[in-house]
Amino acid sequence: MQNELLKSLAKKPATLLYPFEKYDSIPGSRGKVVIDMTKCIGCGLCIRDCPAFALEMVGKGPTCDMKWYITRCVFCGQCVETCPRSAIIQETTYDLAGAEKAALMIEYKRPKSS
Amino acid sequence: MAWEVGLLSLLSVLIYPGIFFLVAVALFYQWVDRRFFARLQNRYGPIYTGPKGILQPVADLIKLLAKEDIEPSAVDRQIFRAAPVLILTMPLAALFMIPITGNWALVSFEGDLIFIIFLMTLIAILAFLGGWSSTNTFSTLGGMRAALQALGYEVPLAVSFMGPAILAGSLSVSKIVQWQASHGLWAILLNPLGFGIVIVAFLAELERIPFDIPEAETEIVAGWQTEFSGRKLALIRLALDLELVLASGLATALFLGGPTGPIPIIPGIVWFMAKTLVLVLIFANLRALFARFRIDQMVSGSWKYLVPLSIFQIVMLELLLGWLSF
Repeated sequence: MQNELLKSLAKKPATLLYPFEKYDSIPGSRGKVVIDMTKCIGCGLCIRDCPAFALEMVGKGPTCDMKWYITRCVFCGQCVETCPRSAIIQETTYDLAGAEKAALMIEYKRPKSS
Repeated sequence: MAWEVGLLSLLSVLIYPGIFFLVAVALFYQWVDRRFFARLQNRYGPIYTGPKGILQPVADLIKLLAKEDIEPSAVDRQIFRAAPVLILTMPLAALFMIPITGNWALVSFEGDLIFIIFLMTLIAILAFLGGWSSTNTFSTLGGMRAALQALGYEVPLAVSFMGPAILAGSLSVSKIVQWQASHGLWAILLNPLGFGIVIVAFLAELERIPFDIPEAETEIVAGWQTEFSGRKLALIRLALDLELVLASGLATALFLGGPTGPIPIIPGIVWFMAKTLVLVLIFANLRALFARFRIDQMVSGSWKYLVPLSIFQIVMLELLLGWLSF
């Protein structure tokens, strides 16, 4: 055991100095929820399915905007499975923590068709 | 002329090598201990506060001083309030009798080694009183275990201290350091077993792993320190850091020759800090190496192994002295 202690002295520590050193996102993991508003039809199925009430519709129907609350989301992926147009995807971004509550709600606005 | 001597004495007691310097050294050793202990466990330790994290113990102390001091309504008020203050003054008083800057301590008299042992016993009794006055089950358990552990380590520690005292023919720490300096040899060369026993017994006195039974975090929350918070806890933690300086300083003075070294140009304080740092690193290494003992294993192991070994060391020392005098 003493040998292991002495070996640990010589090695670099196993601690990750977050936020100066970050580990790469794991492919296939459930991270940030991104809604492609060009594909969204405003059906509201994702809102009905969300167990944490993390998604909100601003307006109604095909002209709606969407809001996603990071503070409520449990990253279960139900919205991704339910969307009939595959407009919602989950990226692998995991470091979503923030210091201000206003930054912890993302609005997805529909691009104005002119 | 008299007032200048008085002022110099006052500055010695308050600043260097007095209270201010000792507290600074205690906080510095806490940093060294935490960094080395962490590196042994393959992690970093404090690295952010100040350069290389050296101000982390100061930051912890200031944080505790600023926190709310909650006093439960059922505690025994006088003892609960007095225990942290007294437990801080004991190591400070004992440290005045250890030579830090030169061969003579601030205070030295014949028999001050016994006085230091007495002060260290008082620290254990104050730990018991702090736990008892808290009227909390965890605190009472921790306090009882602290007192029981004191019964275990006191005897081998005191008997091992007699080794260097017999060599120097005196019970004054300053005279023992003087003897080692004038004879040019360290007492550890003639008392190696005694030094080993002192290291083990000091681990028990400082309540460090493997003998941190009185404040076993995973078992009884914080042991006898559970109910202390805010300023009282700050004083207790500072007292425990000062105890580390006291233990390594006393072991250095008795066995490793104190603040003396082969090269005379380098001041004594540098030798003292170097030797005590080595001891702090040894303590940290032993902390990382072992698991915690049970209280009955500790006390019975101490009486079954440490006490006979310390008596054996004294016998061997006497035989060696008798043989050497031929």
